[in-house]
Amino acid sequence: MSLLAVRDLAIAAGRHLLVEDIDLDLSEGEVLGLVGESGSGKTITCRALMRLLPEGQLRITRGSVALNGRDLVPLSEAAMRKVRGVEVGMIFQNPNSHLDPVMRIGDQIAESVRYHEGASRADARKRAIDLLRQVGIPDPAGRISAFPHEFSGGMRQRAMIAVALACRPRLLIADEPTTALDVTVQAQVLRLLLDLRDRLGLAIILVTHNLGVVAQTCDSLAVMYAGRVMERGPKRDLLRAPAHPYTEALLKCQPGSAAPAAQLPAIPGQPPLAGVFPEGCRFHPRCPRAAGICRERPALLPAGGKRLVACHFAAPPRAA
Amino acid sequence: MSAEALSRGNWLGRGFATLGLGHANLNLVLGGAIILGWALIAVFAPWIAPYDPIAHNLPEKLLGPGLSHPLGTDNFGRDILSRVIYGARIDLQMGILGVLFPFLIGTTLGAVAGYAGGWVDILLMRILDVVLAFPFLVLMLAIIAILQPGLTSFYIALALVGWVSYARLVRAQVLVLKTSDFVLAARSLGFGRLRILFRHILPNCIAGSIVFSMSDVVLVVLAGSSISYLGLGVQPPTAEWGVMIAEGQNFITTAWWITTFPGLAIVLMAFGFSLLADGLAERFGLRQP
Amino acid sequence: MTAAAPLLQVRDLEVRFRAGGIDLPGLNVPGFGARYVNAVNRVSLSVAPGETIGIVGESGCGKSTLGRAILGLVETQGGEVRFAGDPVAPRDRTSIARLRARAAMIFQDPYASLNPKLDIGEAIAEVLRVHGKAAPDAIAARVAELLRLVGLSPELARRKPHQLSGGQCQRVGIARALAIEPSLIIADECVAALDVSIQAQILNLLMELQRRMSLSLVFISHDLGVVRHLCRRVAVMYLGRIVEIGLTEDVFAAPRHPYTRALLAAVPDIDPDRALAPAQLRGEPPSPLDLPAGCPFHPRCPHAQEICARGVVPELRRTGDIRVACHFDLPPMTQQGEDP
Repeated sequence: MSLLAVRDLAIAAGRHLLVEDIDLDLSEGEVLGLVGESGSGKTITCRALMRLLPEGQLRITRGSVALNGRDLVPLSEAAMRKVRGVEVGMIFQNPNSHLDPVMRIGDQIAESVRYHEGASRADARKRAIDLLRQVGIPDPAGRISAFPHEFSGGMRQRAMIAVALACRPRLLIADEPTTALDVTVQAQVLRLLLDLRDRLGLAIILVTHNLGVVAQTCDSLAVMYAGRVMERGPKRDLLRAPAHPYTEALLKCQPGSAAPAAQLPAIPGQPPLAGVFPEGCRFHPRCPRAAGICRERPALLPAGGKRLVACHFAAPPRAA
Repeated sequence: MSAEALSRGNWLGRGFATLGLGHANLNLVLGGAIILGWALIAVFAPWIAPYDPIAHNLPEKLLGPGLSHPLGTDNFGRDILSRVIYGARIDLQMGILGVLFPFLIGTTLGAVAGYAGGWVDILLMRILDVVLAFPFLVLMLAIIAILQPGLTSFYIALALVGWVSYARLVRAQVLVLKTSDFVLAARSLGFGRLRILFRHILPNCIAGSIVFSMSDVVLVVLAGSSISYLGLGVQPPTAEWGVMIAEGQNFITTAWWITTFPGLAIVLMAFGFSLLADGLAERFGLRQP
Repeated sequence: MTAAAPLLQVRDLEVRFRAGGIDLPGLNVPGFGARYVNAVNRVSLSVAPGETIGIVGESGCGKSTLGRAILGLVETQGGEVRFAGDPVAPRDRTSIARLRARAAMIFQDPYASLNPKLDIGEAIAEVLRVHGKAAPDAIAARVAELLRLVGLSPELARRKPHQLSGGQCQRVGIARALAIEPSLIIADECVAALDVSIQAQILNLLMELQRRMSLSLVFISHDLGVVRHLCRRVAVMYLGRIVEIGLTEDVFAAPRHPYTRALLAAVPDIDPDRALAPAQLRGEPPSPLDLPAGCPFHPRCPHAQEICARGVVPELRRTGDIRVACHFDLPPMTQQGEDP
């Protein structure tokens, strides 16, 4: 059963469309990687899924976000509050700024439980200790009365995961959760996320710009560029035989792909800024395969197996 | 343009933007217009004022606002409108010079102390503490009383007392910028300390001080008017708004116009500077509109 | 190894920061004395002319502080730095001035390292003026030349940093460093804040410039993939010490120190058929205020023995072509992460 189905989502700031034609699918227990560079719109898309866009600045102009079959877009704010934290949870990049610095960790976890489920203090405390143990924090009973600044960076990220999962949501949106962490700590946190997926049947949307993280943790991925999804499908297909020129270029410009000290095949130019997106295919000014037809916007179409690609030349996928 | 920049601003600003006039800063425009207006009035006073501001004209004393004297006359028959116009010269000068000296002194001392650190900084902070311990007006009055009452004494007293706020403001910003990456880069490129302080750090601090000085002008004009009201600043018969208010207070019930119009002038000038301060703050990116 | 004299020599360098507490001479109140963080703890390394060396480590290992100490931007409490044979000390203005005329630094945040109020052309011109690198009427031409050298159009000289992209600003930073015609460049995480596609462009630029001008490059980074691609030698730092140093291909192919192994194993590979490597390290780096006795790594080390917890800190010892700071001569690990 599809847990999450996003169709034709578009987000605008004033008159300018920042994100368009977003189509995503996620099943229970699946890990979807949302990959893109800055300006790709991946963070805005995640916020939109939880209807957390800054009021008065950004808004959803089109499309549907169906969670467990129910469209979240037309819901009232009061109804959304029952969804957030309960059916879908979110963790962020910087654990320092996303945990309340003057509230004990245990209280922050318990708050969610008491607010949404009306649990008693004792029950909420038990759940908090249990969650801290599940996320791998040693001595959970002792640590629930600690403040965030008493934890190290990795511990804080684990605590944030515990807070997000307090009311047992089926879907976790992780917005660059390991980008600010050291590589050894990142490995621990990623392992934790996969562990939680196995134990709790959690589905995860993992937003990142790191293709290595995607390769090791995700089942499928969606590559975004300048507010559109360029390619989407099972990770093995996309990483081994990318069909979209942007995916291919992204893989090729990684330092590991060329011989040491050789020039990397870099993508010329830079990603476009919102408001000045190119006509037609947004990648065509930087694309090695661009031609006249690229001035027409390519639709996101199936290209064999479970893969979808938005490119006029996508028909035969080339090996990376 | 970032997503935020595109969606910021109210309908007036966006309207201006679509007309290609750029994001309109209403505070800046309105405030600037008011101050410019006063400046023009001050500069062209001899040509605008219908009467001599200090000449007595007893037959026409205590006339209410009317055709020949739009703002009335005072107890010496002097035209209020002309006195308000000439008063603009003094009050505007008070506001500007009364801020300029403290600004220059305070900024320099604060910058040097903040950058040098060590005992220089400690010494400055202690001096600041001493000056701040006294109420502003009390200290001003004490200094003016020691010197001769008059406009020069007022400027001297202000320079001795008013520099403190600027020094604190600039010092705080210099302390922050001292550790920023571009200052580190400048050091790594072998630039000397003076160059770094005056060419790299100060230009990045000055915006806050300029905005602060606009609000300070308001306080200085009010202080000057208060001191003149108390008889220790501008001396009669010179037309200055504070002096006019003092002279008119005996006639408040019978000839309200003598006090009211200079009072309104003070309010209008203060309002203009206040809007200008907000507008500059917005312009320099120190504040959301 | 060439026999040429090293361009940069660092010997037993120490950098300590005070972290709270007061130090009253003659008084020793337990719990109130000043506490120190040994950000750089007796580090030695040398860089030959035209060589690239990478300094890798996680946060708090002291690599950035080391870079700044080399350029005399922070006070050092011990050891020495020699540039082209001459000793450099932060207190000695002449030696610093000499160093700053021949060595430059590129910073992590491309926007923060440029004065937001100056045109980028002016920022570069200032360097030329201060160091007397061009006659006053030749400055504009030289600025244009430097901008072209880093792949920017000279028309951008009038722009301010906030009007340029991150990649462009970083190129300006490089042009500014090149303005002094340095023999040594220290790059402190200079591609960390950039998108991957832009990062590739900047790396290409650095490689080309380094080759063309025979620059020595000290490349500080937490990104092992980038260092592997760019640098001929690599030094791995942990809690202020170098734990392993040698040729990049040797260290990466067969790392000997347990920390290096863990670090390499933790880097996620873009290989969809490889699972996430099993946990190699326990816990997290300790607080630098509270360093463990003996080998600073031993609480997390899978191979730790009793000797590691005792007083002696392992020094760098030569094992083959690599030098490793470990009591044991662990056999080199293969790529797959298994001990042979």
